[in-house]
Amino acid sequence: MAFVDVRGLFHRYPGSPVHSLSDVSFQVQPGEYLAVLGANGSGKSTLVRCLDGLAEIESGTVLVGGLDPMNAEQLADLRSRVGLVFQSPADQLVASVVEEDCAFGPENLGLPREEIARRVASALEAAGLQAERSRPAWALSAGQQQRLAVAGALALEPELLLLDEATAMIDPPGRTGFLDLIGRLNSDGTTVIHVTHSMEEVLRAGRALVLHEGRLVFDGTPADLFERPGLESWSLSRPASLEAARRVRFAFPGFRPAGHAPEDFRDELSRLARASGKVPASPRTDVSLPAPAVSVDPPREDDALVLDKVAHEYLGGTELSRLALDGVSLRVGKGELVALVGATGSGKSSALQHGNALLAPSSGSARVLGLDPAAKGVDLKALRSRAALAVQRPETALFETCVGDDVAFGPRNQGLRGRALVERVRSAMARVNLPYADFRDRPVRALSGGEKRRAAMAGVLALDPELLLLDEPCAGLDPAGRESALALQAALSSDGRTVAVSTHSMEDATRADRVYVLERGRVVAEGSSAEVFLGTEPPPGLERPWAAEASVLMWRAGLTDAPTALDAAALADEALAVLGVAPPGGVPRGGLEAAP
Amino acid sequence: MKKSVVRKIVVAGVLSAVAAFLGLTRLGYIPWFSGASLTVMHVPAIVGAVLEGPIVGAVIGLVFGLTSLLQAAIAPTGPLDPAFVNPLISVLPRLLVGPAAFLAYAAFRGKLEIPALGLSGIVGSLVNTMLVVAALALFGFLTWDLFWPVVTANGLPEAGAAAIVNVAVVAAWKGVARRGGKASIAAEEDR
Amino acid sequence: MKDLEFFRNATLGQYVDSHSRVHALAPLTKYLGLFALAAPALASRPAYAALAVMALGLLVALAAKVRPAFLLRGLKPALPALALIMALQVLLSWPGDESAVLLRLGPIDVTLAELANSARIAARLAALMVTLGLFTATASESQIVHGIEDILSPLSRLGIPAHRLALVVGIAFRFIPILAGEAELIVKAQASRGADFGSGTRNPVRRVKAWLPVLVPLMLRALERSESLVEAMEARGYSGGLRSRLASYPVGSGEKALRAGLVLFAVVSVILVSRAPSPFGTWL
Repeated sequence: MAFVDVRGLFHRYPGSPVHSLSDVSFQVQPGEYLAVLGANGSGKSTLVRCLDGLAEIESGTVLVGGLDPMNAEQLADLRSRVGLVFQSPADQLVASVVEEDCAFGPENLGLPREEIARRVASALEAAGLQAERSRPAWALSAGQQQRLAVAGALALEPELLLLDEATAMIDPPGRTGFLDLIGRLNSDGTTVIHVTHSMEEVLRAGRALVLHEGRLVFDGTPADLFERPGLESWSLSRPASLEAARRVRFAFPGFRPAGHAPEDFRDELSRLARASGKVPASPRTDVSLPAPAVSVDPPREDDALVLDKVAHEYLGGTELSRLALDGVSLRVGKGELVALVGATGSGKSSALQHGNALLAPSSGSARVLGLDPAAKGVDLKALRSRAALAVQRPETALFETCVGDDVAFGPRNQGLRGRALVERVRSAMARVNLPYADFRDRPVRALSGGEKRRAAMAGVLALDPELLLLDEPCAGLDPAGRESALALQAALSSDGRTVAVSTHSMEDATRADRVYVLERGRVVAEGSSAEVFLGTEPPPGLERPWAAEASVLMWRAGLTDAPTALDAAALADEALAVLGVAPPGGVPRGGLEAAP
Repeated sequence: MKKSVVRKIVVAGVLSAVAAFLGLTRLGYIPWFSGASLTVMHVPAIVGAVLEGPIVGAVIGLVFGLTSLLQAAIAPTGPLDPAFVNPLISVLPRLLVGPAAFLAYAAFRGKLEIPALGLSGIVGSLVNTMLVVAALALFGFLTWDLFWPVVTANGLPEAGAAAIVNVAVVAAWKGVARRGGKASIAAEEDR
Repeated sequence: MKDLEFFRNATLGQYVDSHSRVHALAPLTKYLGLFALAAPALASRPAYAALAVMALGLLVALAAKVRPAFLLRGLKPALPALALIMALQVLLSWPGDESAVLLRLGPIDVTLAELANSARIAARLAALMVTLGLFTATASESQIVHGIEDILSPLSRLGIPAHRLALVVGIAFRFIPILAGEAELIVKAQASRGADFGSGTRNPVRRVKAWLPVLVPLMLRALERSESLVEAMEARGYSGGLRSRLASYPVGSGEKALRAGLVLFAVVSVILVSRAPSPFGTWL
């Protein structure tokens, strides 16, 4: 019997003219691992909330473990059998201390103390947080906090685990640890329903559902899903592994890697190259790439931003003091697009905040647009509007009722009035695709998450800055939103503006002219994205983008003369060259949809 | 939005944290002409009362009052702070801020939503000022002659600030249109 | 820009975990201890009585392995405020003050009563600060919350869910550091858009206007985050009803005796300090 049984489900938010879920039906068997995909606003989160009785069902039936979430008497029992983990780690922790937070669920069940203690111990053990049990919850990293949220769910000993974009706000190492934990729980028999924007994560699931505008448009295996044409119209994309294989297959049918790892891609290529008589040169297993370079070119007179051996101590002089930057030297040339890459806490944000003088170096020096912010008589307010920073999640600082007024906040502070002000606001809003005529009077609160991010970006662009400092502009966006944020970066750069952007995605970093890799407040690698990801060994803890890793593996195996590919398209071309097949000319990105 | 006990508890806790945070960091103090800073720490109690009812407002007032008591005792910064060690000055008046604001709001809510929010901000804020000043006078920290001057010099601008913040926060949160739903930048188009 | 580091100030007192026998006491006992010292500190009439309470507090601190210097350091920021109080006491003339004039400085009389009043206010404040500092140094946030729960537990027995108030306080504790992070981000975002905070302008109306872009989004974010927390708590089976608790504080017969002793001490000491003879007459 199915553990989750949804039939003809409709849902509508109060006051909304449209259904957020329309006629959704599916079943989930015990022990399944189900991924749920779809654009922002497609109804994924609402679906999860309907399963746990947090959202009101308009019509249709929902049964979880045979219990009805709309029945008040059955709801408590249902919730004791279902664990739910949300997007934001900090928003779901109730108590200040790790083990007390973990105990919150069983305490609500009114279990005896000994039983609570037993469950908490085993849940923390499973989540690898035993050592942290008496630490304050806020002192954990985002990845640990998210594992604590899972532990809190596990303490209920649930049969079903619901994950609502639970990995959106953690960095790649934290994400891997989190997903491995979920994988273990699933193989121990827990049913998992995982809502995600990450196409790579879908590959871990046995089955995928796709929601589009509230309707269930796909129900099948991930492999089948990514074979389908028209993924872009659902705001989905293909993981690099499948995109590359698919492109090769288009010109060389029969190319089918055994799995999704870069090694699988290399092995398949190697097998086919041998079979077609193109015996590769001997493998270069003993050849290693040079260690990452950290030599920064001497600063030039017209550089937009120069940090020279900058150290910054956060909360200096208190017990919480922490060295956020530990001698960082970097330069961003005029007109360059530079990416700062690193895990949470590596110092990316601190480095960017030195770029508009929000932070001052504890030692070392900064030069912004030719000025030293520490010098006397420098007008910091004017400097900040020439070197504008979009903070992380900038949408949290929106405060006006109407979008147009919020975008106008910056230029108003610059003293702009009347038509000049309106023109500035209009062009900034056009840049982020929020037409002034439609969005001027739109209430900020009525915007979707992606639109809010764009409105906040417009508020920064409206300053008309020469240097843009963007702190994780893609974090938490769906693939379509991410693509448009990356396109905006590129457009700003080709306008002649200087852009420095931080990210923890290696894929996003490959779009930059130059990359700095930061770790624990230090620069550990620097160079063009090809130099950093293909020309050197990655610094410890950093993973190459998938395509770059495959390209390096192909070179190691002697299949190619040098690794050159940073994305799936380039990797496919590289592989086809090995197979002696000309790449299909003139096929644009995403233009393979018509292929057999 | 469905009304639930859990929401009342959480909103009370979170807005109490806002009040305490504003006090601890001194963010809630705005320097003013009269020398004594304006405070906006009682605004969370007003917002909480308007959104979740008088009890939530009173609980936020209680936590805010206790915080100002503790702060006056542990890290006093103003000349009158020692007076706030007395809970009858620091806690009792703050208990009534939320319920008073709620009553003012409840009388006019519905059609006159924006004026009702403004009024509840003013009433809640004035209750805070007048009761605190009265308590200070009662315990001899101020003389009664100073009652009206202080209420005028600090109480009125505080009430204005409370009204503005209350309207801005609650209208945005509940999606109530202001200025006929038009952005103020619209007025710039003809200049 | 040190102004933007909100974590610096966002703590009330500081927990010092020194694993002493005082730390090992149940939260309820600690609350009784707080009461037993704070009540006489507030009730004391002559300054020396309050100072005696403070000395007692410092002795307990020694037993709790909390350095007295740590508690006394907390008095330092209060010194300017105390100076101001004394100045006010001396500058204003108080109706009914017939005590001896010690010093005449032009139009200002420094009377014995004014000095004694100043001394009393200062001593009371010092005693209270030491007491509260001792409490927050020996009771962690979760013990403060559990203590409220335990104090209110008789109400729970009557079916009134008094634990809800403890939950409110617990959530408030949890959110203060979260709000510090949010506020920092918001201030940085608005500063990046040309808002000026504190710097430059002396015009108070403009200063009020400068706070709106911080205060409004901060409260909106707090409300948004509370929506998420409501869902998280409901999903973990909380619906406002009675609940059990993992943390337990077994109380032995020694601690029970201590509790009785603390209550007795509070009563007796309040009587003593409020009637303690004053060396300088009725005004003291």
